[in-house]
Amino acid sequence: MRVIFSITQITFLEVVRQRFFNFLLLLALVFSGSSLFFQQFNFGSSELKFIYDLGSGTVLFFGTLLGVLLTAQLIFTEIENKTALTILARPVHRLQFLLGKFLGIWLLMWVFVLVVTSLLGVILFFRESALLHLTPDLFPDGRHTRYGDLLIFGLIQGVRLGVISAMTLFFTALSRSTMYAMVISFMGVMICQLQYIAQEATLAGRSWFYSAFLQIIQLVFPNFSLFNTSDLLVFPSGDALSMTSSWMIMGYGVLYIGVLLGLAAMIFQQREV
Amino acid sequence: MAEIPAITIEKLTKEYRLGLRGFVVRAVDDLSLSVPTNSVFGLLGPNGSGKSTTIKAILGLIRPTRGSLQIFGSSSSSIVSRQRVGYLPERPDFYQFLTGRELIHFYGKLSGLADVRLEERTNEVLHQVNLVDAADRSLSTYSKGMLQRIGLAQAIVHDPDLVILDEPTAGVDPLGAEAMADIILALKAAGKTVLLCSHHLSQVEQLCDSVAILYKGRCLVQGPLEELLERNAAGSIRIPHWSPEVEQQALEALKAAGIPVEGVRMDRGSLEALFLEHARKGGRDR
Repeated sequence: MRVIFSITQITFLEVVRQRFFNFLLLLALVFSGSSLFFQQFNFGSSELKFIYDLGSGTVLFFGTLLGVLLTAQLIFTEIENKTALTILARPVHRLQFLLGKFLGIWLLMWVFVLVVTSLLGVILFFRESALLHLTPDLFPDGRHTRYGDLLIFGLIQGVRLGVISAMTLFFTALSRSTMYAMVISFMGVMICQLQYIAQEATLAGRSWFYSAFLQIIQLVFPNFSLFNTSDLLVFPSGDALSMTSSWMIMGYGVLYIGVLLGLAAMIFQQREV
Repeated sequence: MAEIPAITIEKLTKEYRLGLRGFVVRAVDDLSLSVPTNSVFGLLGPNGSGKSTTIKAILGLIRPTRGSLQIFGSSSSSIVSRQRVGYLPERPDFYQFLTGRELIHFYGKLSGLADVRLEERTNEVLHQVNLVDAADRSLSTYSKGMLQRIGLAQAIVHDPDLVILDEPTAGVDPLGAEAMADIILALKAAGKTVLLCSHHLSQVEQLCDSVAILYKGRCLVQGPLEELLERNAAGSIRIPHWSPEVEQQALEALKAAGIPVEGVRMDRGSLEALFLEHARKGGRDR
């Protein structure tokens, strides 16, 4: 474990000090913060929903970018700089190397989610306080925002970004260039995101071959529509997402992370560095 | 009982398949080598001769197409064999955001050094590579020579019995190369085995006990350096305060003794010797 944590620590430090990460984090914070400029419209509680949607969208979009780009780039940088050689020339298993790298990137993803979600919470709180003062009649039952749900939202998105990083790691283990790994990984994320189309097509019940193909796709690629829970949290229009469902979604994500990392390790084991 | 060699390579062949048609390139061809313990072994050859591929195969970073490799009797594909090995690749680009001390700590932890021993060894190797003063500076401020020395420090932090150095003096000035040579000799004096891969032949000649010369993946010649050089030996006599008269006297003396002389040439001394002399002087004056 000490070996894995040492690699995790180095990886985390390496990524945090990259300009690219800082730039994307800053951009994400500006995006989330920009919702404040819409306060002049004063559309009551729907304004708060707007702020939340913008913030949650920021986490999804920039998180995906970070997950794919940083993971792919980091592994190839290790190989090009020959630091991978100096690590693997020691009594270090390749699985330990990959796990350490993954955990370092995932830790960074959690920091990203924590920072952006915290900012979102702060903006929502202050804006809701202002609206409570300006238009108390729109808030007869007090505050609308379920702030505790922000934590659940953050946890689910943190796991989702972990799946994206693990998937990118898997494609990176297969690839020979950073660009190829990035392109394939983005395509993978798209397939995961559009899983609901495959589900609908399977239900439509065309030929058995087509259905079998779609079912394989659904099994191989994680279904990211399960992670799109933002409408069921913070400002739920109907029944809110239960804690049990939240844990099940996270468990589903962690399961895929495990499988993807295992596959990545198997491929990386055969790879010549 | 015969001592187990530090490295044993038997009939190593490594082929790479390139492109969609699977065009085969043979990087190493039927190479057999034995590196005795407590020696400095030079692996020589032009670019593309298979030196780096051989080193990677020794370290288990690539799988041989055919043949076997052992480190102190253990298969090089096993993790255990790497516990006794330190490795410095050619021109590594270490984590620039770390200080020298942090880098050594990192590699020490990877090698399984316990905390107390890690601190001890870090200080020892920093002292050994003469980087104590720069230990807490970021690597981004290090010169090429310092980077090579910190690279060597990470390779020896766990006190390995075998140290593999791939072009340790590439891009390093003569002073840095000399410092590196001193460290290699110190390692040998401490009972370690060093596998040195270098294009810097004068340094190889100065340091190595045995060499192997590779060309297009095949080993052309190998053996103790003294023996190999003696095959082409020709004596030379160096006259420190030369003048035409002294030369004439020397030639007559040799002729009288029945020793044939092939030729006479002026030895101007080497630029490297001149540089080192002045650089050392400059270092003392500062």
